[in-house]
Amino acid sequence: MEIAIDIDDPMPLFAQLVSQIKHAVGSSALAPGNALPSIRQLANDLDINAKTVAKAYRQLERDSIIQTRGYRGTFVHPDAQANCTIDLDAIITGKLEATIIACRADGATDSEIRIAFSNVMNNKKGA
Amino acid sequence: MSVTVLFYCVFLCQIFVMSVYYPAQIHARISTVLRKYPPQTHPKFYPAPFDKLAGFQGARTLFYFALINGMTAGIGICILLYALQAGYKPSGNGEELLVTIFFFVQAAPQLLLELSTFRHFRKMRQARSQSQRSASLTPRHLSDYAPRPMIWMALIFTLICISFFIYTDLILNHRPMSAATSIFAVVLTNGFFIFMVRFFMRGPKLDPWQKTADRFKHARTQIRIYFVASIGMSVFLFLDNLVKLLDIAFLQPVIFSIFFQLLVIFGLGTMLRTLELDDIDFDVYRKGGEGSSKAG
Repeated sequence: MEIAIDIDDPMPLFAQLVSQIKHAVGSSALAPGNALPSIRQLANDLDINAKTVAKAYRQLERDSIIQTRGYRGTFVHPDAQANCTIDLDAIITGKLEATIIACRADGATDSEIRIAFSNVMNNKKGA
Repeated sequence: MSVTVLFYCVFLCQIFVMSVYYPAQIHARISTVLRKYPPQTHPKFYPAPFDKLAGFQGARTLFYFALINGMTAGIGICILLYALQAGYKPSGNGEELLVTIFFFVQAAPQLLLELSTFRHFRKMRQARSQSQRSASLTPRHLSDYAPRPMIWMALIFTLICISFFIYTDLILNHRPMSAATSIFAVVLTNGFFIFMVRFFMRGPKLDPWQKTADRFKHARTQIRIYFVASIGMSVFLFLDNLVKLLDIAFLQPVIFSIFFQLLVIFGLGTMLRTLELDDIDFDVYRKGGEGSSKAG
């Protein structure tokens, strides 16, 4: 199984990697339990920075597409096929939209919502 | 007497193997590549300044390579004739140092060629304008490259070698410095081998156009050579210490020379035998040729 990236593509390299690996899982080219190459191996083969591959792997691990088993390496998650259909970005966007609509209905201005959001993101109390 | 004859035969063989036979093979191989895959048809193989290699510059480089090896062989023959005339007999008084120095003089042109190859690959990587890159999603394991018995043998032989040094130098002869130096040398050399094995397994791709299959074959050959070299070095150091222990150090120059020759036969020889030119895909170096995105 091979993946291809385009370094001139406007899409970030880590996002291309995430997308390619998700596609491989979705098309059953990678089955649950299959081993993945190490970060260094993949970075060297693609001639890109290891931090880019690490970022892609972190995102895939967060989405339960892959799992790291200590020194044994990185493997495809048992529930990867089901998880790769979940679009976390769409879920987050949906929830934020719903919250913003509710805040506006309560009379909050966009500016107040932005400040409150920023404070919450920075772990500050109150608006 | 028999050891003296053996030494002369082995040293003559070293001259032939290192300065005549393998340089001639390398010379023929490079000439074939330049003739069969010229820059006109395979431009990706000749990034500047290597684009002039197929012409006069290439012929001149090959001539110098042959000349240096010829001169080295001449020096070897002169040493041999001088030793014969002086009635030299191996006595174990450090003559193995001369054998070692001569080996490095013989290996110098090949080492320079190897360095030039690294420079060639760097220029190829710099010249690559392809934005598409691809890689295999299959992890690479050591057992894919070298058979398990070979890996275990290298490990066991290294441990035996270290144990032998501890026993002979530390326990038997009470020479802690000698033991430490020998063990340090074994660990350092094997450390270098491990580094190179990792480099060929997971390191950056040297030739950006090389096909996945060719890269795997090349890496497998190199990795096996490092394992054989590790086993050979352990056996060599074991024998070297054994002859000193048994007070037959006059055999040392012979053992050193044989070791160096075997190193070349199993190293360079294996590379030349295994990686046949006809089996390598040179189409990837054609203008717009396939494999431009074949990394792996």
